[in-house]
Amino acid sequence: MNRWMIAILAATLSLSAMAQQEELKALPGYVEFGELSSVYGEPKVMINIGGTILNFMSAATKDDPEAAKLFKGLQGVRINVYSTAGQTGPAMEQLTKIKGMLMNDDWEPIVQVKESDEEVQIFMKLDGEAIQGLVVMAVDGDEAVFINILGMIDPSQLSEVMEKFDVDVDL
Amino acid sequence: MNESPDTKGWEDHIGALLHGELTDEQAMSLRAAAEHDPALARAIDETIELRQIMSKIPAEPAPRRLRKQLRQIPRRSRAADRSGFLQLRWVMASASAVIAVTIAVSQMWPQGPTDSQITQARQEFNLVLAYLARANRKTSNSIRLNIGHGFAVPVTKNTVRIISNQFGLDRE
Repeated sequence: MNRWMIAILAATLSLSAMAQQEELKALPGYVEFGELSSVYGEPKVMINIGGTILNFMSAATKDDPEAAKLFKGLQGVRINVYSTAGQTGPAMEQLTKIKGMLMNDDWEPIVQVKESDEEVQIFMKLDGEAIQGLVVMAVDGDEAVFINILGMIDPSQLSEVMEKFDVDVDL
Repeated sequence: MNESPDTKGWEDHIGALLHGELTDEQAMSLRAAAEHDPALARAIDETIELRQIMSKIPAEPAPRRLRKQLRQIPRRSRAADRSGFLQLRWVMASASAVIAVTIAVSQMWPQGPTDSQITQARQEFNLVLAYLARANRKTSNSIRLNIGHGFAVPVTKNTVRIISNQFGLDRE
């Protein structure tokens, strides 16, 4: 395969990823986390799971109705994690900025924990009783975590699925 | 040939005179103009002399190489046209390749991601859930601590106040 073909393929794939990102941006639960790479370098964890793959994950868990239901309602899952290495200032500033933005955009603050060296903020965007989006931001001396879950989610389902999936990731 | 400004206006006519292409009407007007313009008259004389000299020069065939090069001009022109067409074809081929790859990539999803892609997405999803769980743990710990701490004081104060009000202890 010559370099032109590789370039064409790379351009096409990046266009596809961009298109998926653009698709997520159009959803009411999408939140722009801004740019922290210039301060902390590339994100330690950066995950963008779009609605298409979530649908396939839903189909793959059809023997588990609760999990399938959760996946079906989800339209996207995004997470950016940066290593703060003790420098929480820029991440805290970003968190405050996003918090202001969410408050202006009618997001509901659910939990806010603010201590000297760490802060956790959880916001929800509601459409009646259903949740359109969830944002979790947690900053401490080790990491700055920004999570955005898009789509209709039921928190009770979330906890059930977490138990069923037996999430055991050493963080 | 020193030309007056008026002579310059007659350049086309003089050129036509040199090549024997001047019409009768043009020749008359040129002659009439030359009667009042000595510079134009001199230019016409010089042109006529030049024409006479040129007519005496025997016609010699152009050098073979020059003729060959002259013959190649139309061929090169056709080749240049063809190369433009080829460039267009290359652009169209590239565009077709991009469209084909785009269709191929878009066709991948209706068929569904592979098992390994779903497994990877599942692992990534678990990682997100793990971060959610950690945030949840932090907040619940903090709430427990704060409620345990802060709850006692207001409740105690409220209780004291209510009891005080009930029994009118404030007044004492």
